[in-house]
Amino acid sequence: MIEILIAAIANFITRIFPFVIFRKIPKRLKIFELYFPSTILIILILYIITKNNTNTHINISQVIGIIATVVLHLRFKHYLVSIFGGTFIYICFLNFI
Amino acid sequence: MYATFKYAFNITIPILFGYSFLSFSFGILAINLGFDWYIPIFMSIFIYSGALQFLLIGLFPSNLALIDIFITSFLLNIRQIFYGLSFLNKFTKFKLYLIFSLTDETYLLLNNSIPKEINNQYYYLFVSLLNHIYWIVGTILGVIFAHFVKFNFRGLDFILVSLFTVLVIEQYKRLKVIFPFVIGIFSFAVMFIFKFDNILLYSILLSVFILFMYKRS
Repeated sequence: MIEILIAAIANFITRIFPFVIFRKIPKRLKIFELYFPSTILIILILYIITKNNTNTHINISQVIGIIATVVLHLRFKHYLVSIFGGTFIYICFLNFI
Repeated sequence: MYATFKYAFNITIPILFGYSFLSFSFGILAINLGFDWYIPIFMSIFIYSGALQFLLIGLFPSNLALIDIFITSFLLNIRQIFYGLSFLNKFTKFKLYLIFSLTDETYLLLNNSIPKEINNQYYYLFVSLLNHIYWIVGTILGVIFAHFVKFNFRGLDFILVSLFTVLVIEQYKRLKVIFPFVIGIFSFAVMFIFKFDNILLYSILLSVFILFMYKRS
């Protein structure tokens, strides 16, 4: 139980850190507010799809799933359609091909 | 207020599936590894970080010193330090809880632009709280199911990748610039090619550095 508490505290520190250090966002860091979400998104996607990639099979399914998501999103412009359609196509490829 | 809740709920629907599935698997895994039922549930309530929780149930049997657990947890999630920067002046009403519950997905959703008629603070609260609830309920269901059946939900965790992909498109539509994405791809590629151990952490640090230099010049 003490381990959970320690991990919870360490995790909370990473989340509260900027609020303790900065009153308001320094001018130099303003760009992060605007652009960092985009950068971190791409990194998270790449991280997820490259980890555990011993099986190339899985990789192809993921690429197809992402392409399907993009196409669906540009076509229908509704995020639920894109997300569930993309995931559905991914699962189909994963299981049947 | 109801309109705000409805709006927030709609936004979090993909997370409802993504989170409940992930935490469901987490609950099952924890029970299969021999943990008492309350351990994964307490973790989901008080730690509330997917990567860290999966790592911890993997690490626990190896009898780590508390200081090691502290350092590992801190480093694993150090990227979250940058998340708060976007909300320094935006969190006012439920500040402490909003900070506590600022996960990757919540951070990204709170960054979306929201309509004028929606109350900011309550929108933040509802999105954060709903995501947290999905996470906890998924864990509890996983713990319960682990006692009965072995499920195979292979592939459903792709929902999070799909969600991120959609958010990339939406971010691009909003910003109309490509360099933040290029910086992300470049930073990751560098760390990937050189096979760094903690690839997530180092690529984020590199991208922060490049982003910073890029805008100064």
